[in-house]
Amino acid sequence: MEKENIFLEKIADILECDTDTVSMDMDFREDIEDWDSLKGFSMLIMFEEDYDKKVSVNRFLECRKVKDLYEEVQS
Amino acid sequence: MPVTKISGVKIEAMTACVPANIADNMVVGGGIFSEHELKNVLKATGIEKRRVCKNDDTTALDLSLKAAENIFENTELKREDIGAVVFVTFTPDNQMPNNATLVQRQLGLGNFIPAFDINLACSGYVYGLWISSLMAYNMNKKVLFLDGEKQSHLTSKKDKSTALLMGDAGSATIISPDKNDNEWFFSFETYGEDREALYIPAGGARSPLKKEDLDYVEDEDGSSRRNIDIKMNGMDVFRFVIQKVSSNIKSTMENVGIEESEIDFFAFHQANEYMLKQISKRNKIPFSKVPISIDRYGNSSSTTVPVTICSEKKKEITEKNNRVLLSGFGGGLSIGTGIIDIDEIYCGGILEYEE
Repeated sequence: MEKENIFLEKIADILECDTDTVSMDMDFREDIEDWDSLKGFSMLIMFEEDYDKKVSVNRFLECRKVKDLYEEVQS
Repeated sequence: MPVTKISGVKIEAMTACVPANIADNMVVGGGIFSEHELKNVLKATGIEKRRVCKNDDTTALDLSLKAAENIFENTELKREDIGAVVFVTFTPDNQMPNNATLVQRQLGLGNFIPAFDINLACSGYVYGLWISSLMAYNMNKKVLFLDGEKQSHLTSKKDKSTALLMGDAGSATIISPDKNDNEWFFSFETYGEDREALYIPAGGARSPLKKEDLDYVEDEDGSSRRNIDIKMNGMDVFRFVIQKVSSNIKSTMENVGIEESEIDFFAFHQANEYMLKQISKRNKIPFSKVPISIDRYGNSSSTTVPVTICSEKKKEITEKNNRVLLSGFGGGLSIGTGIIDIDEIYCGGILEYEE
């Protein structure tokens, strides 16, 4: 749980919203008001720096929910 | 990381010039983004309006000459005081000869002076300032340094990554030898291995212009552009800016031994507002010390640095002494960072070029 919460905090920081509004089931592109591709780029950088995971843009585009992203960095 | 030092020079004057013609991204962006997407893109990049040349035959040289003429008209500077002309641009009037020789003729400068261009993209203003400073010191003469770009004719209106970004602008800066105690510092980084992150594929000697280079070709994300248009890989440029540029600024400040609190403002290349916020966050620079001009002028490559200083800091640079960190980064990929002084200079602000 601890690991998941840390991940959610990092996602919330990039999305510029409160941590408690972000959940694993959140559709991160649809469920926030002002999604744009620069936030997506920020997530990819975060995966590289904090999880040592290089996720391709195409793979990222297939992820719909926050838990899909979490699975990518845990794999 | 090596940092190079120079002293014995000062900036004497600086003026920028943009086309009077305004491109409104809410209107232009309608063709390539949905209404919702467009709103979010404009919010993140911070670019609402841009200045672009209306006519095909208006160039970066025209904009920069107007800025230079403003300095001659409003200061004691005389034609014969100019010992050299340096022009930073990747969009010269002709492939050959260069823009600087045209400046010498158009402004009626003397014949016994060196005049040359430097081909660089977004990092160019810092390079030009560095070279001009070395020359001013070495020759003990004033250097007229111009920096201008016209990118609108090399930008596809149907390319999601560049269409709402690029602007046109020109500038002129006078660097003079001077006996003062100021020390200026410069650092540079080059990543030629990533050159295709931001480049123009065709029209140069490696790929001479062919008829089909003028056709619009669609790519995966639905954008389309010609081979002679600027092509940008958004993710690669983003990674470069967030990681390499952020750490370059940190290392430069550490090597010089200067704290954020000792710098009056940070004149960053206006890549987009989101990226500037990220650079500032990573370096714990209060965003209030990062002037923004991209919302009204767009990204005019290297010229965003003088445009930002002239539009946002005119009062400060004309009335008091300022310690300023400049940083330009982009095409190359290339970074130039400088820590300089701008002390009570003449500044003509932002002029508008009517076509």
